Amino acid sequence: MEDFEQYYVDAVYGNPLLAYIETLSFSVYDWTLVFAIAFLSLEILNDVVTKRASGSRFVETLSSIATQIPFYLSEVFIFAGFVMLYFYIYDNITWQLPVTGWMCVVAVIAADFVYYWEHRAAHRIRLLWLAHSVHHSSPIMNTATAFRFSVFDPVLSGTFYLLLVLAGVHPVFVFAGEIMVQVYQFWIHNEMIGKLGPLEEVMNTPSHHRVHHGSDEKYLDKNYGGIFIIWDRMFGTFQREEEIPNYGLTTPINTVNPFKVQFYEFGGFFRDLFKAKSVGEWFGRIFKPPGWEPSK
Amino acid sequence: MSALDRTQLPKRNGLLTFLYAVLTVFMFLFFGYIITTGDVYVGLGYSAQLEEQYADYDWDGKQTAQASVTPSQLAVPTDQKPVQPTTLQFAANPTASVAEPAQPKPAKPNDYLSAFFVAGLSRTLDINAANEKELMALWNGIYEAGFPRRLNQVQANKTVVVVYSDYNHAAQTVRVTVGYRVADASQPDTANVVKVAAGRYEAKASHGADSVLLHWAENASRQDLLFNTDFEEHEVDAWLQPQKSTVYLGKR
Repeated sequence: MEDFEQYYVDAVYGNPLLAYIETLSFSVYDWTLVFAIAFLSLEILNDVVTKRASGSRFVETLSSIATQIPFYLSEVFIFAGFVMLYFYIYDNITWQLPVTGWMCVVAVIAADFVYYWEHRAAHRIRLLWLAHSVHHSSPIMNTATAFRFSVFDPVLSGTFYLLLVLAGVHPVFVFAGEIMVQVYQFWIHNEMIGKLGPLEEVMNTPSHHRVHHGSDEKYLDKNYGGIFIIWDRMFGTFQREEEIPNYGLTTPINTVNPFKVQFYEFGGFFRDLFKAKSVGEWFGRIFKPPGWEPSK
Repeated sequence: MSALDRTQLPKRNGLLTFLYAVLTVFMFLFFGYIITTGDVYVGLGYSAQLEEQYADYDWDGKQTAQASVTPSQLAVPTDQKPVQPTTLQFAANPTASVAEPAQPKPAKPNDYLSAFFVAGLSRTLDINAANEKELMALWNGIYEAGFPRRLNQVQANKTVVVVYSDYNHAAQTVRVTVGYRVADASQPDTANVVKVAAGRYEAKASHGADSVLLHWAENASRQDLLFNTDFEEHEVDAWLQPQKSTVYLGKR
């Protein structure tokens, strides 16, 4: 570990561009938390002023925030592991892409593309949905929801972004892209911003993302995009917001217990695996979409 | 609006919605600003002078002007004794640390693009340091540009600070690189971790080891060290002990 840290210092801080990108990425993430507190404060204040505030909404908000504790703990260790893995792979491939500013821009766009597929997989593969369902289990939509994460989320994202490293993108650029995509997510979780005109055509917006969090039939499995909504348009998963969605899971979890929030889906998942009658069904329960049942 | 009317967003207070919108726009402008300038700690001591230095880099990530050497090019052969930074003559001058920073020149708008990926907190930079005063201003600039954050992380992670640099006397250019590493627990007696680390860099021949700032630290007054670094008072005192030119920087 110590050797790796020394290696990291040499590899990253020995290159002004990489050092800049690394520091900038983490700085943006830090600032995001500052803005998030401001946004959430305004949302809570709005709830109070418009008499929408309730104990359950407030506790639900706290429940979302509470997921950050286990998430952060897992993130520290898992992220560190992926950092080492990424650098190891990058150093052992012969098709490294150039380390330039333009490549970093490309990496951010590529990261958004990867995020689309990661997100789509997280919805359409039940094993991955175990983790991602945590993010969707809140019946309310505010900035705190953006920070509602599973302890397994870092595994998910780390694995998918590995593709970019395998493609030859420098790990620091991959992390920068990942952070930019994640940072973008936090401002689109709210009901304070309506539609944003022409931006709605290209960018992911609060309106598009409310749809994504909807449990209404027509909103299910739509708008997976991170920064850009164009991926959804390209791959047929786009849905415009036509009325305000009902948020949460199709089967509400009806709990704010942080532990239950983290592991709500696991019980049903293991029950289904246990009662599977064939290897095919067993794999189906794992890799098919949530709600999948074997044909009779 | 009826509670059942789902064609519109839930009730929003006009003023709060306006503030929310303003904050959103401000946030995008803010992030746009720090991404394009590297001024990641807006208003917290960023030096525009540093930005100009970083403007020497282009979007292709290469340095285009002034010092065109890279850290790897600064390598010293392992059998070559590091050049002592005697040319800089850092005296133990209590006033050195409070030298006025060089007046920052206003950045030209077109600098922002060229500085896009290199301004801010890169760990390596080149700067003309004609004299000790300018170098002290440089150190202050680096420190104010964000290194307190890194130093805090360093301390929190029980690591030590390693400061090393290279001085080109002919070009009057100094290259300063600041990094950090975990203290080597297998060598409990190596109190002077900085020197050990510098030695390792030399051995690996991966960086220049003409430790200008280290030399400065060795010659700095107690006040200098307390004022300019995050080191604890007892650590500084340990540094200044006669016969003990060693100091453990950071916490175990």
